[in-house]
Amino acid sequence: MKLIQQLFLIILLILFALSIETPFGSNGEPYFHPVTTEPDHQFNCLASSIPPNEIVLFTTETDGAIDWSTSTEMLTRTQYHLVPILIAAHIKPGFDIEKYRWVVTASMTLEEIEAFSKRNNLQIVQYCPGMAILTKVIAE
Amino acid sequence: MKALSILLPVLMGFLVAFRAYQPKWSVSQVLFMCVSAPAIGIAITSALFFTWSLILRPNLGHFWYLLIEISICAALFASIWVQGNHSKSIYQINQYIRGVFSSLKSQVNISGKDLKNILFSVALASVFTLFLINFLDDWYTLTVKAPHGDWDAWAIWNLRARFFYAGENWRDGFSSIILWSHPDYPLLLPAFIGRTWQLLGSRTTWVPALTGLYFQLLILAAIVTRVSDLRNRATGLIAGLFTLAILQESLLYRQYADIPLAGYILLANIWLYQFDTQKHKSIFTAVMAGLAMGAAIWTKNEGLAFLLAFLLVEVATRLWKEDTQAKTGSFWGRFLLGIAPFLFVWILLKITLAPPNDVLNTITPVSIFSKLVDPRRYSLILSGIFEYFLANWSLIIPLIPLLLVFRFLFGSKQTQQEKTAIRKMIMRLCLLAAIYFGIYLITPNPLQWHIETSMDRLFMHILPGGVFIIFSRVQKIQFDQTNEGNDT
Repeated sequence: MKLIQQLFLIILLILFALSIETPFGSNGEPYFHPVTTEPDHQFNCLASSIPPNEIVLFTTETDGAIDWSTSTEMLTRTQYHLVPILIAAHIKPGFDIEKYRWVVTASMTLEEIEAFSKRNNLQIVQYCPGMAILTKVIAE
Repeated sequence: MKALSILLPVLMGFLVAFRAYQPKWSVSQVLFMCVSAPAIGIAITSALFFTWSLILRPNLGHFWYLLIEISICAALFASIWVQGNHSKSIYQINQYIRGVFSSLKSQVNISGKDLKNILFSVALASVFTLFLINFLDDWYTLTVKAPHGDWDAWAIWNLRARFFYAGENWRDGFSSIILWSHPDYPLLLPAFIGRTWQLLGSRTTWVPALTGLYFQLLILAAIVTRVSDLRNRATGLIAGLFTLAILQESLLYRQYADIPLAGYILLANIWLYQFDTQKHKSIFTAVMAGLAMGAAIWTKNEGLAFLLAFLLVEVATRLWKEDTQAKTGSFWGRFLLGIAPFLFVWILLKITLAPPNDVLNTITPVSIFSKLVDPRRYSLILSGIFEYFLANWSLIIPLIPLLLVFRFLFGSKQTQQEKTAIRKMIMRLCLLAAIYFGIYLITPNPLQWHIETSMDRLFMHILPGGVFIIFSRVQKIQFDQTNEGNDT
């Protein structure tokens, strides 16, 4: 093997070695640190753990009505995984808010959500900007 | 049932791939077969589960569905047994295991001979191992931070899988209400994830996460094993380093169907290369190429573009008499056998559930013409390509130019068969790139947005094949030539 090829191989290895992330970042913080799920993913994890048969109602209005023409535009990334359940709720005949244990709200401020939860006897389980998951308060 | 839901696709893939096995294969070839087999099993079970869902329902008769998968495995096993190859097969497996051990032993023997080679081997193996650990660590960290994957993963692929898991209302996944989620996209990934969730009885996020990781590692392992076989282990590991640097970038779009698609395109290319360079053609290699090509089509619509590129190259090389060993009728028969099941389910999806494609549905001859004559669009696309061509990926200097310098410094002579096979692979990938270029030209979406959100993924479809091409055209990397031949 020619000298130039050997030199190139050595440089190549050094280049790859330098491209590996070190245990310490550029600011000196240790690389290995406890990993936590991001807030919107925590929201996703909780929402996706709701069994499909405990149907979720998606609402953009405080009275619980679904307006799909606007709600699809307002879908945030945190809501995508709920779509199968939301559509099931939407197309089901005889739709009745009383039947649903879980409620998901979108495009409401925290104050509006709190007012909505009090009015409908719901408890806020998870909240992230733009949306919240609420569940029915069941008397002990 | 839970264990079977994972084991059956792997077993099915192995039984299919075993038919392609030849006694003369090297250890690296057998390892390549082992890493690619589950991908074939995943594709077959995905197509099967979609058909089952269409006829019945995803959540109906799990026992009977599993019985079908078990029956297919039993039939494949019986076909190997009945052909009278069972004693030969057992002998082959025995030989293979012996081969692995003798190979490891010879590796130990090699290392004692020359200090320079030892140092180089240790340095190369260390950098590769650290790079791989770094990749796996990043994958784990990102997966824990975002267990539902990245944007398209939850908005398209896992969303559709959730409809399969929902059971009763799974057809709502193709509703016009959620046209933004591209219900016309093929279903390899959603149907496989939905199937596994159904059989596990749990919608755990580890199923899509580990499926995505498998396909990333498949690309790495396929390149390392095949280049190791064609050249030597050191060359295979260097090819692996370049592949890892590319794959590191794919962590930005975890759980997308682009990685499985890139994997199937690579597998189809490798199987076709293998067929084209074999002295004694193993016709089952054609079945494997067909299966990989079909799986690509069942993964994303771009798989069809790859099929088109393949067919055009075959026609062109035959017309120009470039290919002195043009494929015979028996090749096409076996290739069709592999691709047919996936073409069948793809057509089934398109005629029963899928709405028209958003790009193809909104373009008109007038709009196409106006876009084709607009020089600004060409400039925008070319500047996007140039940007990715000079991108570092996850290295500290641009990766593609570095690959080309490597090829320039280590180029070697090839046999006529190798030259033809590689030329055809280059033509296939260039044609695929040309089709992508054409789609950018006529896309009804805002071009800048379309380029920014998809070009990195389209590069990913092509780059693993590019790495394979480069490394199948270089000499064996041996730091000190005095020991040449030992590290093979």
